[in-house]
Amino acid sequence: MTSTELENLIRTRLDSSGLLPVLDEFKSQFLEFPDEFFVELVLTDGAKLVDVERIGREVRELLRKQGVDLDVIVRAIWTVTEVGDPAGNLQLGRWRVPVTLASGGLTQQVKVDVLFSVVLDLKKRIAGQGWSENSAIKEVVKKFIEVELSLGGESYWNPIRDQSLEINDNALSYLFAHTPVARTLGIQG
Amino acid sequence: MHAVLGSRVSYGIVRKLKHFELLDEMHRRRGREFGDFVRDLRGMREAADYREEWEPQRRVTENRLAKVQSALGRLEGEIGTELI
Repeated sequence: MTSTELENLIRTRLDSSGLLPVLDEFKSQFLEFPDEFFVELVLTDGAKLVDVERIGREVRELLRKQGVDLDVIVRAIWTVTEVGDPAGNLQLGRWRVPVTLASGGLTQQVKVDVLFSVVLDLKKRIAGQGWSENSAIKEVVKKFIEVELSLGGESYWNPIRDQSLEINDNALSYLFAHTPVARTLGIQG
Repeated sequence: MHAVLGSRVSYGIVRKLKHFELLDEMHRRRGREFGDFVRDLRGMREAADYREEWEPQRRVTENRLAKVQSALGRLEGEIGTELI
């Protein structure tokens, strides 16, 4: 079997289940390695994850019977729909920010913990720039989530499985150096 | 490419990979977008080294260099060491 034949097999199965329209053809991939195949199915609708995962398992079992190993990842494309207000927790030494993500018909709540050292750093940097502490934190959190969602393959973040993230000093430095968030906030990275 | 080669050790890959194998690994580890980006970079580097008529497009080059810097920063952060 070749990776193209495998792609055709999976596409046929998705099509017969009415799931092909939710497959993102530009992000999904079908790769052949010396010891196995690797397939990443990227969906535009998280509500279909379970159905597509089932098809992935069926194909993997089918191939196993033929002596072929297959590793399948099924993931969804998420977007940030709302960043809630930060709430400080002195005991834990962090601020907690609720975030709502959406993928087609599915929504998911996650929380981002922002360490106090990050909040203090941010507070100093935005002084005199016209941003409130809360709105600056929310802006940083939004960008952080977008960066986390940007990777695919085996490095992808699954917000259904991992609903808690943390922004520490290193993460803030990375965001300031490599995303437009510092410019948005009108501060020097 | 050399930095990406360095990062493979963090994935537990110790054997030497050919370029096309490395690209497949990058697609697998970090997704299609990143893999395609590394492939494009490799194409650009080959063109710069081996095609006489090739001329760099300033905006494209600057944009890709910025992305490389960002990608390297993230890779380094994840594996906890400097790659270049």
